[in-house]
Amino acid sequence: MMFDTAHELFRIDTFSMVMSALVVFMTVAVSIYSPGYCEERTTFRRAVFYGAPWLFCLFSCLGVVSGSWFMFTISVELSSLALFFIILLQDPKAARLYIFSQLLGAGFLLTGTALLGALTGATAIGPVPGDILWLFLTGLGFKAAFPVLHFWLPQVHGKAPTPASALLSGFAVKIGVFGIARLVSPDTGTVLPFLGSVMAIYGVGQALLQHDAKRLLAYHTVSQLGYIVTALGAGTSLGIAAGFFHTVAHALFKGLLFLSVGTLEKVYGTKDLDHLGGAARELPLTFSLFLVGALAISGFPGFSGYASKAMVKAALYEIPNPLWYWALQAAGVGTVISFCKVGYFAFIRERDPGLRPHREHMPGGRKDLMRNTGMALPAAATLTLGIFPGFFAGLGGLESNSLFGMKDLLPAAATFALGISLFWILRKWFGSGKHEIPDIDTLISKGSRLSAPVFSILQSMNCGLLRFYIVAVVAAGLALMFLM
Amino acid sequence: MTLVLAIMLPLLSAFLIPFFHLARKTLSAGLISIMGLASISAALAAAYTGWYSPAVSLMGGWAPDIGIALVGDRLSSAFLLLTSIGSGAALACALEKFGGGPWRFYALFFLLLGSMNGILLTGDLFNLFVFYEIFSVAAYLLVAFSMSWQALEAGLKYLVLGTIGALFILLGTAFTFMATGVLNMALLAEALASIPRETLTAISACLVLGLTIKTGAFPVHFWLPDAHSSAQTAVSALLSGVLIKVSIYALMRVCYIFFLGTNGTVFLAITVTGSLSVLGGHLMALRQDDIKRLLAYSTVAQIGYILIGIGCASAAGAAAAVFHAFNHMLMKMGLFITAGNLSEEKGTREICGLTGLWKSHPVWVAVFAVLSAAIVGIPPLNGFMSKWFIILSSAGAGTVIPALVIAAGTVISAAYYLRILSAFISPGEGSSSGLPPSVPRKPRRRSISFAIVGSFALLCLVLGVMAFSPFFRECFSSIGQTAVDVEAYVGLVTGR
Amino acid sequence: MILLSYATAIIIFCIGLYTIMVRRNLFKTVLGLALMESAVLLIIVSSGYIPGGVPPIAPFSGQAVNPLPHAFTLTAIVIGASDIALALAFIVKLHRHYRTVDLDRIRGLRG
Repeated sequence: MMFDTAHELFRIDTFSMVMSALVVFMTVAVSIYSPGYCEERTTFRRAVFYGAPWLFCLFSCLGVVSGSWFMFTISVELSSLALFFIILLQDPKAARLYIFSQLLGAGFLLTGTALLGALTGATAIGPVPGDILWLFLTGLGFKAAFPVLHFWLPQVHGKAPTPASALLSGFAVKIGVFGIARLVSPDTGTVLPFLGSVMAIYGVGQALLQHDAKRLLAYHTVSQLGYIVTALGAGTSLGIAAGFFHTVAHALFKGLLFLSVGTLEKVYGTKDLDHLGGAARELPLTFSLFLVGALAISGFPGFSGYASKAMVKAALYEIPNPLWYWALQAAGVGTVISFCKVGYFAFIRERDPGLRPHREHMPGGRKDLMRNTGMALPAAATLTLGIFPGFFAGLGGLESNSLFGMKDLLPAAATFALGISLFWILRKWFGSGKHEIPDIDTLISKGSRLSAPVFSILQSMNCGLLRFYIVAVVAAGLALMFLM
Repeated sequence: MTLVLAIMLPLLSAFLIPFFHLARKTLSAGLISIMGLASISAALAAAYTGWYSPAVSLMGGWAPDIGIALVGDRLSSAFLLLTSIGSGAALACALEKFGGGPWRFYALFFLLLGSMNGILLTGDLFNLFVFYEIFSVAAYLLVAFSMSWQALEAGLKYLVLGTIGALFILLGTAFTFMATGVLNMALLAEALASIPRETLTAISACLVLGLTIKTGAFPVHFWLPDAHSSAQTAVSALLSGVLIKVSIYALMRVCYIFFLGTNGTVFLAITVTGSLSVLGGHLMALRQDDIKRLLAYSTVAQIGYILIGIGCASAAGAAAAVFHAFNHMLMKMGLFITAGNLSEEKGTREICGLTGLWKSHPVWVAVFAVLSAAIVGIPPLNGFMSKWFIILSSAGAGTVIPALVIAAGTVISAAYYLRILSAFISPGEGSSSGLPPSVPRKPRRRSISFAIVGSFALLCLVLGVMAFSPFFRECFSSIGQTAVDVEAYVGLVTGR
Repeated sequence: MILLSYATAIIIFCIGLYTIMVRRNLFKTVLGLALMESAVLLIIVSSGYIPGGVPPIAPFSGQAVNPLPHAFTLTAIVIGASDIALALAFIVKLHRHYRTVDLDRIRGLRG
């Protein structure tokens, strides 16, 4: 029968179950956090704010257990739609950018799936032939923030409501990575490490220059995704397991970091690092939760980030080219520097005197309690995974002790030392003025002006002149004659 | 017998209406409804016959090579179902809005219905041309019915460009007759295989150009935005929903029967035209301020999708094209009726003026949202499923570019439908904007329109989910197979 | 085959084509359409000619020319006449609004 290609409806393995558990966990944490953040007036908007994360959870779970690329694409599209509604509540422009980029990615995926079905007769989720690989990588790249295709990420993650940002950076981009993990084959081994390293370095580089705290975190998402993609590029089962471990760890600590910045946003009314400060004194619990996340992402031993990065590097030993390893190490140093920056400017140094904290959001109130409880969940998970990485290490065939050996502790300590000292040296430079390098999204908005000639040509064609229409018809007829 | 009835009943109604008008000054809406129901049931009966046992009806008993044959097979019945649902909905909306008053309107409507059934059921090329011309003349008049200068200008341009299209079809028919001596489509399918190459090229160019002008594909679509936006609401819905699909049927029939085995570049040309239509239609729609003109350009783009499906020259492509035609009828008719009603409420057709509708008419806006989500292609609604089938079939034909064009089209259409929806949802100025209403407006009864639009939206959801079921896919696969199975068609008519 | 007849038809078709593409007067456009139509009909009628044939009106002796094209031509003439009549009606009504039949001025609907 037409339109049917061979596939199973579901494909449930350890990785799907882990991802489902992760998304449910994150959604629970975000739902506990949301009452401390949500300030929507009408019932309808509040319903969207609280309900959309659960819709997202449902469709993401469907996506990770799907057995064919088609079901995967549909579930991912629907989950982006759920997040679109929640971003729409706060920033319509960012919401539009988000849904357009996701629809475009889904379009590429659908085309790839159709070609896969035509070429092989089966659309089961798994590695694809080399000549249509680019379609899948482009489609998934929109979701997973590959270079150039990441243009939507900083703006959307930066401007969305914080619970949505936590879910976006925490899980939505991970679905793209999940798809790539399913794709891994010898063909991908050439291109993925390169893309991943570029993402890691570029993300960190841009993050260092940001003044908007959420945009900085968004760029860090790009960078950490680079770690995951590089690990997947190793192609071995250790690489895939390392990628998954870092996916889970990153979801937890990035969600935590976003939620803590969201607290700052609500208490002080701004996300701008130029004006924030002094929060360590006034919000001690939030500061300690933030520290958990910051230490985790920088790779401090005892936190999940250290264990997952160690596993990623273990996977990279298998690739003959040492370039990727050193790229990730450099990105690690950059990560330490930028989180020193966030910690220092947002929490430690003196605040801009014009900024007053909002009374209702201060510690002791109900809102602060909800927020801190919501943040405590990922924090606890981060610490647990950091101290007992056995489950994930076992997936890759490693002993958990091997992750704490000297060969990993030493580079981690060195990274920390280097990072902190570089930050101290560059401290003044960070505080002085704005130095941002425009990213792809500004290029695109400039490029939209370039597309004006196309529109004016089309518009002048529909000019209302009947004679022109007739000439166009005759010309089309002649073209048709010549074509045949 | 049912085939003849499907054509004769609407024509009879059309001829009787002026006499009824002479007898009593205003026709009752009940009379029109009865006539409408009779015509539609005849069409549905013909569809039913054609589905289960493909029928051939020879007019006057003359053999196919010298007489006119009416053929009802699965492709015809699918389109008969489409036109019946569409024209029934349009008739209901028109009756609700105008009552029985404008007898000329209903006469034209039934003339249109009769000729549409004629196009769908005929098996003879010249007969196709004749019915096509009756259909076009009725359409030109219906577009210009409101006699406003926009409608007249749109009607005139539609007429001139449509007549040029008809001329090319006539030229193609003339060449065909000169080359082969027969005009029956089944016999032509066999005869065209043995004529010289250049003649076949000329015939295919003329026929394809003429038929494509009538479907409103990109380089020759110029009449479409004017005509579909200047007509009254029920007529716009009918135009965009049903008339275009009948033109698509004519294109499908002619191309599949004549050119499937003989001239493959026809399908390449159709695919190229389709891709251009998708891009041109969507890009122009981005720039529109008038909501009905925007919907008309959206029609151009959706016709492009259907043309891409036809251009795959396979059973899968034909099935996908028919499915998308059906879905587009539902979606576009719903959108036009909603947009027409909402713009009448607000008194303007500009998108920036259609604000605050979420407060005053939330259910209409919700229905519009569902329909536009369907036409953009959000899973699991029917628009997404038919687009997916089109992508599948074009991948099956080996090309990547049409599929990527469709993907790009999805994003662009999301852009302009979101713009409309955000205009609806944004809070408007105060309801009186400082001026008290001079005459309290009588709220018009619109429950029938709403029922139609609501049921179309529901059907979108249902069809989308049902498209996953094997039974449904079986149905459309069989339609597609019937479309491309030339030997079966020839055998049906000639009895061999 | 009558070469002269076909040649005439092609020339008339081209004149009609030129008229509708170039002339700005709406009446001339409609006339051009009528010319193109007549040209096509001339081709159709001429195609049925058999040298030495007699008109196909019974009773006749000898071979009659093919009557089928005559039937088509009659039908197509009727269709063409209704199209042209409709076009002329549109022009009259449109003139009341635009006060001109210049095609370059009748472009209210655009974009």
